[in-house]
Amino acid sequence: MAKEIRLQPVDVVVVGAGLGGAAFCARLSERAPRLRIACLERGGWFQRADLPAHRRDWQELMMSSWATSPNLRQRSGASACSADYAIDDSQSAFKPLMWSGMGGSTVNWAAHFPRLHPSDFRLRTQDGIAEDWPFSYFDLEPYYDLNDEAFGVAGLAGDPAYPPKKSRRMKPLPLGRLGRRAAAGFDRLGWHWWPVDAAINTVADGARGACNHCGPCQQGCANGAKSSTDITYLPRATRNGVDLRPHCVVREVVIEAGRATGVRYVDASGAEMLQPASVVVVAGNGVGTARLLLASGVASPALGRNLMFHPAAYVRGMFKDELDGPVGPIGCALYSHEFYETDPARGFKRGVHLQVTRENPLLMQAARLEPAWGGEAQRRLREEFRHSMAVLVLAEDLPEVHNRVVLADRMEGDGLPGVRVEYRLSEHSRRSLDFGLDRAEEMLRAAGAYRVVRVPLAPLAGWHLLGTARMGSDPGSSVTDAQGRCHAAPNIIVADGSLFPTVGAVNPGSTIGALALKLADDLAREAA
Amino acid sequence: MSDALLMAVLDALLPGDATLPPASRAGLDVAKLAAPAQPLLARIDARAFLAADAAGRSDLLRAVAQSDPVAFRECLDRALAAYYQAPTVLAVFGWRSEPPMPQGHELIGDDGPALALLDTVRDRGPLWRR
Ligand SMILES: Cc1cc2nc3c(=O)[nH]c(=O)nc-3n(C[C@H](O)[C@H](O)[C@H](O)COP(=O)(O)OP(=O)(O)OC[C@H]3O[C@@H](n4cnc5c(N)ncnc54)[C@H](O)[C@@H]3O)c2cc1C
Ligand code: SF4
Repeated sequence: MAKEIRLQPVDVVVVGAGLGGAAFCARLSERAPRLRIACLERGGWFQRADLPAHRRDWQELMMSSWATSPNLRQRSGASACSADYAIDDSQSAFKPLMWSGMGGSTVNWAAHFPRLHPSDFRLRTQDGIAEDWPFSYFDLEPYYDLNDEAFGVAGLAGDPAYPPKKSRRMKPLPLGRLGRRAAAGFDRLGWHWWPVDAAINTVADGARGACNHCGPCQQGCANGAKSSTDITYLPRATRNGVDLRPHCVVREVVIEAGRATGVRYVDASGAEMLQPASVVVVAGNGVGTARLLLASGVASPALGRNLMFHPAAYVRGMFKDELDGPVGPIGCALYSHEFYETDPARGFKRGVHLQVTRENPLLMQAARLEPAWGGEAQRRLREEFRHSMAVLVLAEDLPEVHNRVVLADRMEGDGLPGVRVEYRLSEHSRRSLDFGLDRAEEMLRAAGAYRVVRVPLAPLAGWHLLGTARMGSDPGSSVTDAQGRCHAAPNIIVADGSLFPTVGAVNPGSTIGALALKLADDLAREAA
Repeated sequence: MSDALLMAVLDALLPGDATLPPASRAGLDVAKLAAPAQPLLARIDARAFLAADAAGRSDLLRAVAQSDPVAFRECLDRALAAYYQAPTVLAVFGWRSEPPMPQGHELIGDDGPALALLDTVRDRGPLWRR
């Protein structure tokens, strides 16, 4: 057996250079410049010149080696440069999506950038369900602002669905024909709508271009208009001296007498390393963090449990007039929070986020028809392509202990146990989705749709992996305290989406970033 | 025989219409489809398929799709990818065959009047719950 190499100790070792990990590294290295910080990431850097957007077969690549699902990428036999691991998702209503490499899942995210609402932090107090967060929206607000600065938000200030936010750095993305149609629909009904906040440049910024509406954002942005942490936080972290190590798979957080002493990992050459550290920060996302901590023997009954995705469904509306087609960032047109807050008359607590999204490319639309072949399928495709709009419904997912990430019996090629995701859609989520689908349909009709198609569940919408190492004060029902410290080993800090005690009904990226910045400040204060 | 069968199967999957070409005339690299289609073709009685009319061919395909969904989907996915990325087909859909980058696309029209509708939304005051 090869001998393990013991490295010089560092003060802090961070596992994962995705959204939470990168934000944490950048902030901690600024606030506590004397700390020696290493960041280990299982994947490498992706090259913008290699992205599908430069190729004629880009549509096919989106559905195979550059799909958003790691399982599909692996199945295609020619996985993109994401360092994927297999996830058994056969027992999950939603299939986990992610990217494993520098930038993490922000490489293939859609960069829709909403914040949680103040009420999302107070479910127990306000609605008598689930848990409160250990701090409020207003405690996190300064960090939301800092995170906005780092990502460079395009949007429009003044949205009455939120407490006032600082003015957005860039003008909003264009609505286009699709957005204008949707706006007319919402307006006709007298419902709230607003152009989305997007972490996408609408004007060029240094070496990063302005969005030219090329389309396939979820396969990486070729001109850097879309913010991902490989071009925002990680360069800052490197400048501050963080030792970023790509292609390093962490296999174990070493724990002795209730404290972490470092991590064991395998580097790009296959060498086995022991990195001693005073603090271990884990930011591997809702699946990767639970997998690593469970494999390391962290004894915490809630670890891996309470997995939340945001249940997703959508309605497609068909229009006589031509809309934009697959032009522009897919998730970024406009949204409505008319039904976001609890209304007891609806028969369920909390609410839904309605998001008007852009069309899929031709091939993807063709492949998703049922059946996808024959004259009738082609007739429908001709009728629908560039004439349809989808309204995505995201519902609040409530924490349930049986929804979880568990280790499988077998070991995987990366030296960690295999991982399985178990998730059942609850009755509560079903009711919320059905309510949202009804509203989406109403809006599409008001906007002029002559036909609508409901998709009651969107399995390939497992974008948000949350809650599996949640914050709280009770070690029996939570994994960490309010500072992300594991109850079972307080010098292990979790700094990613796993921490969310509840998830609201909006995309989590801006909250994950803000949270990681806050936790980095907490640690920096302590280290001072 | 197997070339003729492959062409006939592709045309049954993607028959086209007055302006959209059938798969066999869409300029696809058919040689690249032969291998992934093989497991499906092996399940089809070539003589019966070629002798059948369009409706009969669809029925035969539906039957194999049921008996061997994996082979059917593999062939279908490859056929769809080749077809819906073919320049002639993209042109009929009003889409270009050049990649998305570096040219990008335009989102056309003036958003001004639509954004003016936001005044009504603003006028309603805060919607968030304290
Ligand atoms: C297709 C897609 C679209 C999305 N769209 C949006 C959107 O529009 N808006 C939004 O807010 N959110 C969106 N999301 C979600 C958002 O990207 C994620 O919530 C966010 O990136 C999660 O941050 P994280 O820090 O928890 O994990 P990640 O960003 O996933 O980073 C985790 C990192 O840890 C690394 N890692 C894991 N295990 C190990 C190990 N053992 N050793 C070393 N490294 C390890 C991984 O390789 C990865 O790089 C989208 C996600 C996807 C996949
Ligand atoms: S649409 Fe805009 S943000 Fe998306 S990949 Fe293209 S340039 Fe980047």
